[in-house]
Amino acid sequence: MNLKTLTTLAIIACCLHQAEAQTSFSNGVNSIEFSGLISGIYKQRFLDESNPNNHVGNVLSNPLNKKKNVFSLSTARFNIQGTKGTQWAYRMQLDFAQLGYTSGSGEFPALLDAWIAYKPIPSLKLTFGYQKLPYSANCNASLETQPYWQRAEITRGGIFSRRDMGLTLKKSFFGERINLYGGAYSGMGEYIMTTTTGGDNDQNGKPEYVARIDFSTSKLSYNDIYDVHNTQMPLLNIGLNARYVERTKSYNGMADYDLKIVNGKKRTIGADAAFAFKGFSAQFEIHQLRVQPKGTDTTRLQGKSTDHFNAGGMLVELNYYNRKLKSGVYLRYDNFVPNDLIKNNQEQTLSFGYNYFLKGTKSMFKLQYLDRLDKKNTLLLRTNDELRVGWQVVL
Amino acid sequence: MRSYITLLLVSACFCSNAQKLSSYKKFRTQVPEPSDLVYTKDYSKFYCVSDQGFLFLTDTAGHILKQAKHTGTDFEGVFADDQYVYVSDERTRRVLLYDVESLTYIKQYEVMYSGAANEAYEGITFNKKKNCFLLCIEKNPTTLFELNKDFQKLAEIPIKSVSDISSICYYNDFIYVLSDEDEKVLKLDPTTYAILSSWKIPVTNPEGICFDAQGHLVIQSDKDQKIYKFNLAQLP
Repeated sequence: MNLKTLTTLAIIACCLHQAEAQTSFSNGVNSIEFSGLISGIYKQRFLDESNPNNHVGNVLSNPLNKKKNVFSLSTARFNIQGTKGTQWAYRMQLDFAQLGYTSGSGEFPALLDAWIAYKPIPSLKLTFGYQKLPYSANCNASLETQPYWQRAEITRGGIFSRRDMGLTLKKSFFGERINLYGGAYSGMGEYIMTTTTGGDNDQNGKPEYVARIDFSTSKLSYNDIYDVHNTQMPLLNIGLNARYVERTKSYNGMADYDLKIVNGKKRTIGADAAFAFKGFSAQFEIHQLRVQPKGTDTTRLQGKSTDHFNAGGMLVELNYYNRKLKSGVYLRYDNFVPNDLIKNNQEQTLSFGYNYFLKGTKSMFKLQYLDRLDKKNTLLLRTNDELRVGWQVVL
Repeated sequence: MRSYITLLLVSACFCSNAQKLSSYKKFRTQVPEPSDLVYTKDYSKFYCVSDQGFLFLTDTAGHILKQAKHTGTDFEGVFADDQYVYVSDERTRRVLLYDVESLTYIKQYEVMYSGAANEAYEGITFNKKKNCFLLCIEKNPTTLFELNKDFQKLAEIPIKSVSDISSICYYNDFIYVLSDEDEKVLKLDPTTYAILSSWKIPVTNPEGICFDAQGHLVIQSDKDQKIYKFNLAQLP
């Protein structure tokens, strides 16, 4: 990263931190709120010259392909949310960055949320629409609370969907210390909102079922798991979740590893745990996919006498936030095995993060360095280290 | 890697200057999602409000004795004088008045504010020194509104040394401000609002503050649904 790049980033940062917070209006019964989130980053990949995949056209004699060294609009979100009386709530959120990059036909749609929720009693909530799925604590922690520019491979949305169209039922007990979630969704994940599906389900018409239970020592918000509140009482949360879907067609070439929608049966189970105390926090998540492919996808079985393969991965995060220094330092290990029938194809990444909270999470500088632990393995999709640095502002 | 972990540990050594208090008593309240509390005039009961828009009368052990029939949307602050119980409704930007004895709804005032829906009126009290009500804005920016008895805004006072304000009370000629995210109590001059002292409190999600008849500091936790008492003798 040269001096010009650094200067540009510094100027952007100085302008952005002046931004103010959300705006809302109320008529005494109903309220509506407008907010936004903008973040821009610079990405630099450190390419290994000996790997042909890093050269133009994957030919070693060609120059290095540096197309990923680029300024990038990480997100540009506009959010409208509100309440109608005490029982109804709604949210619509659009990411203009996705709209610009993909025009709605890519892996992730520009629409992030479009749902309405009904709470007949305080401990019961029904949410209908396009929404986050009640699966994985990390997936449910919002983007602005993430200390890293990129989530771990297993939770960033390429392996299993993070959002879908459907219905979620949530029942809470003991002041939301125990929460039960159950839901039925299209099973097409984010593709249900793109031209990939045009809003149609798989031809079998079956939904995906998702269930989750979590226990916490205190009423939990997933956005608190990185403890920027410096909690003075230890907080522990444990979650267990599962999901099941059957499809008759695969969608390949959209997400890495082509695991998101597979012709056949896919069962995913996972567990997560989070701990926070006085600015220290730690998270652990593990997810295991059992895929029974059909048709041409049985080639994934590598000719072995089995009807399924497993995929999965985990993440471990250690974090420390110091309010006095307005800083957080972060360390994450994550791995992912896309197919257990293939040997030596485990991706492993160590991520180092530093956040400077100029105005809390409303205006913050984030730095992430991804250290790929297996740089020479040509079976893996990601072998190059990468630096991501940028600014995030909540409007 | 080693130097990174060293950096993590070194930065952990920086601690807050505020003196830390230890609670001598804590107990559970029956009020769900309690967001603020204040004693009745004779200190025999609490008025307590909840995030769900309910006003309760409880005994001093936290057992619910009565609930106001008139509900709101998101009650976050409560104050009582001889005549009324004043409740701030954060989302609807209202101050509702209830009769102190019957908890009958009397009237309400609109106090407009267009900041974030859930970052507004977290607490309410009356500043006897300046003869005005105080409403606190939770954050972005942390601010106190001075209001006359018709709840018309007189002044805005920024409070810059805390991440948020979750409650406020007036006791012994001083203003006490509670910060949820900092888990801290500030003592303010009631005329200038200058910060005179601050204390750390080991309470998760503290949302309510008041003082009992003996001068003990009372803090209420929303997430833990508990009330903590701190000995005033610990305060310098």
